[in-house]
Amino acid sequence: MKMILNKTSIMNRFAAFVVIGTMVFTVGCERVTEPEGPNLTDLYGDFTVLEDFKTSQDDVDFSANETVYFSARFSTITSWTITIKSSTSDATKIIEGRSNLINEENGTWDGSTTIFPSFGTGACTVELWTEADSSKQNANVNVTGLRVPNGTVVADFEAINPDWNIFAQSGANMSFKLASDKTVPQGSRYFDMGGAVNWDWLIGLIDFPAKSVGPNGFGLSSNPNESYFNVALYRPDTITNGVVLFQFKEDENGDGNFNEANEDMYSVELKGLDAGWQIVSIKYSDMVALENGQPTAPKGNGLHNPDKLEMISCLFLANPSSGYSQALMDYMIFTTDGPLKL
Amino acid sequence: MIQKKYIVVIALTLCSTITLGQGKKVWASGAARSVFQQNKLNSAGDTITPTNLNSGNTLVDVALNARPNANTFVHAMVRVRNDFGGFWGSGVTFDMRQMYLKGLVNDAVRYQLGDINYKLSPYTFFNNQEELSSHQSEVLNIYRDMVHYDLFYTDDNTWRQQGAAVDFTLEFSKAVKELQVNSFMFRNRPTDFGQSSERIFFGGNATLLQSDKLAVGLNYVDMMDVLGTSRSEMAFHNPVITGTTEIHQKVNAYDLSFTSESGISEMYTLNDPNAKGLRDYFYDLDLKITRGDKLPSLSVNYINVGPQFRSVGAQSRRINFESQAQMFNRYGNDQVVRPVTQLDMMQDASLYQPTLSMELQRFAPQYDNVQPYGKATPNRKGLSVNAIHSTNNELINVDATYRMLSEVVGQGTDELRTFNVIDLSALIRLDTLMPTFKHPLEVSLGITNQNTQRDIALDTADVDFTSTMVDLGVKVGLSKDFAIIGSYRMINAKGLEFLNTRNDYSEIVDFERFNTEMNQSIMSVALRYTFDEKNHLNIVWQKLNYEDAANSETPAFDLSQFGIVYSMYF
Repeated sequence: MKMILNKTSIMNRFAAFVVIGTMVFTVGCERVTEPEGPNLTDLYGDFTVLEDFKTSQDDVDFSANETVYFSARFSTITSWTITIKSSTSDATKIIEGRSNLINEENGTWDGSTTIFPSFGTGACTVELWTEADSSKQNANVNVTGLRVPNGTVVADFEAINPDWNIFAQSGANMSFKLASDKTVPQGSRYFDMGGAVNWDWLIGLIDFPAKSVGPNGFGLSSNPNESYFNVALYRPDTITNGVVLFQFKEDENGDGNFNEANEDMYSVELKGLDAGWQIVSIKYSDMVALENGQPTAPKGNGLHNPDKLEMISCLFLANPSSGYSQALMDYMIFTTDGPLKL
Repeated sequence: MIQKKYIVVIALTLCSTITLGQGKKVWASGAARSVFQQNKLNSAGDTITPTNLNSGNTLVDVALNARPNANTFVHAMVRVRNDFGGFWGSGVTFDMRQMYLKGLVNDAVRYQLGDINYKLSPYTFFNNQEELSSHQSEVLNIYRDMVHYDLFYTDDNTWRQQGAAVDFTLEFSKAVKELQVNSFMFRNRPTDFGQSSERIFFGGNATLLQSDKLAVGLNYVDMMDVLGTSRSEMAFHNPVITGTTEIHQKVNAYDLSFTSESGISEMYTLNDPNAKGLRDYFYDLDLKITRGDKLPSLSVNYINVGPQFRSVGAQSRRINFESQAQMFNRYGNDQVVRPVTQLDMMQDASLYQPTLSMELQRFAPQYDNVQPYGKATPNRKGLSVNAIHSTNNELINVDATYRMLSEVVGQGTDELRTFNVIDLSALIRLDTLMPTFKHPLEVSLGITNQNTQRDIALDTADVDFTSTMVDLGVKVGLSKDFAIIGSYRMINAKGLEFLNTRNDYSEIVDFERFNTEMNQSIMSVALRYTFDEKNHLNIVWQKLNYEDAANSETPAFDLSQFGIVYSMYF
């Protein structure tokens, strides 16, 4: 009996030690005691405009790397939208945010466009809309010079380069050609990829070899984090079945050719694009090797070597049972200072 | 397609041949199901949405089970599905549903490879039940059970994962009875060889069983990215370590059980300059008192879960309220997205997710505003009291809980939200009072009332939110095999709440106003024929009504549904 009592007593002490020990260990950790998230008064207090909406300058020359910023201040955090419209075209730039202060950090316009065509020189109207009181304030800015993107233009589609290899299937309503009957992001022409091919996913393709860009090829540095591939694409409202596949083929051994058996090919597969024009940008180092649409290990050295890029291929695909498909393409460019802004 | 059909036929033939030839070394098992539904949507003034929708399918899950030797078991299951309207092979799909092998090494170490159902504790690795599932009349389970089966959700709260698990037990002759050790490693995400690294989830549990009266345990889990599997140098980590205690003691005629769990978590991303690490702790103390069968068992529980406590394995939710219902997903002349209702939650598998989520996912306050991430819901502390009782003749079974919780720290203010929850479920077996009535005659009742309050100086940011769910069910046996089962369940939610908007690092960056005055009810009646315990035919009629007076952009609607559901497990 005594033995049992002793065992029970030891057990109880051990249990108490374990419970108290783990509690002390746990509660001994530090805990943040300040409220989580933004102050509710800043979000849902009384809304007033503390500083009116204004521009930092009346004239702006984007070609000289100038920018213009807009400013305003409110008593509470609210969602706001700045809409800049050209007086000479439908070019529109939209800047959105949620804050109680609009300044150089969140309200700067660098001459880029949200809704194409690109801005031309001339007067623009600027409107600020705030959600908190649904009010609108206006300003004006005059564009005296247009922004010029920095980078290597692969194709602006103003004319067909004889070094490109263009292949289109002999399907129905094929249109692998330049066209100019729509608004374009840049210049006056774009490339129209369309058709119905009921026996193959491939509708058509274009190869852009390095030599088509110039004697130095694509002229990219060896650092894959510096180079961004950009292209403007358009999806018609009613067409959702198109797939645009870009392939980036590297010549790792420098023999002037890409060998798919033992050299790297990275891909960018684009599905479900928004309707209308949009700029698609991807950093070279973010590209992956694909096999049947799924990521796979590259077949070459496994390193991103933009300086060894030999050819870009653009394939336009659609499910053969899905009927006619179409996408438009314009202004393919490598930039080095970030994604393209037109 | 034709090749796949041949594979299935050959597999089945082989299976039956070997079964016949060698006894039970190889055998088949599986399930079959057929569903046909007619749905009708009605919304006043809606002239655009097609009002009728019919759908149906038949599917068969066929598993090949093999026991090549006494210590090894192999299982592979194929699903063949045919949507109604697909003839002669069109509309037929073949999928590999699950595959695993398990066995015993040296009669001591158990292992399993492939698809695995696994769980640890409610704060480390636990698949919490979805909203409304604590009170479900039998008729409401007809469709819900199909969703659970498809997504591998089980009543024991395991998550279906892929990887490896090992467990063994060491027995001792003195001082300590045994040491149970379980460990696992699952692959949560494969690399894309680009910027997305391989993500694994691993951990385990060691429980020291001193005697039947005392057990202490240690749990550890970590969700982490494996550096070097992609070009990304960033690596997500979420380690959680907890300690558990279980003590059983008899004092006079009372059985006392004390259980506790406490621990700490971290969430951080290596080499990401924008990521602020989160670190917090929790503790959970539970005391249960029972005294035979004549008195109710009583439990008292206290929890304190910090605002920065993060545990991916325990806080991942089943229902993703950011997705849309598949059936009639838009309605009204403005073709707005139809709100997710209790009917969708019962039968729309597309709302559910089978995998763990890195973020605290959006929840729906009208269905659960208090602990939407289970016991591991961050920023909660307080007391719960629970009583369970069954009368001797099983006439009445009652389970009642009252929870008084609050936040640990405020959100956007120093003032804390308070939460009060009343939870009651009861089953009355009237057939026990009628000895001559040989079939089931049961009435069930479920009530949940949740209230959330926060009073601050800024009136526009006060919180006053209440939701109530009442579920009344009935089961009447007509003969040995026939029964009528029915239910009426209504859910009301009213008031103002603020939903959190979080950034990629799980920090709150905004509060979104959520105002509702929702009333919805569902009436369900089914005629059930039971072939045997695993084989049922149900003919079901349901009607749902939904309105939200505070949100005019989502007009009121009703949805009626007639369905025939046959299910069989073999």
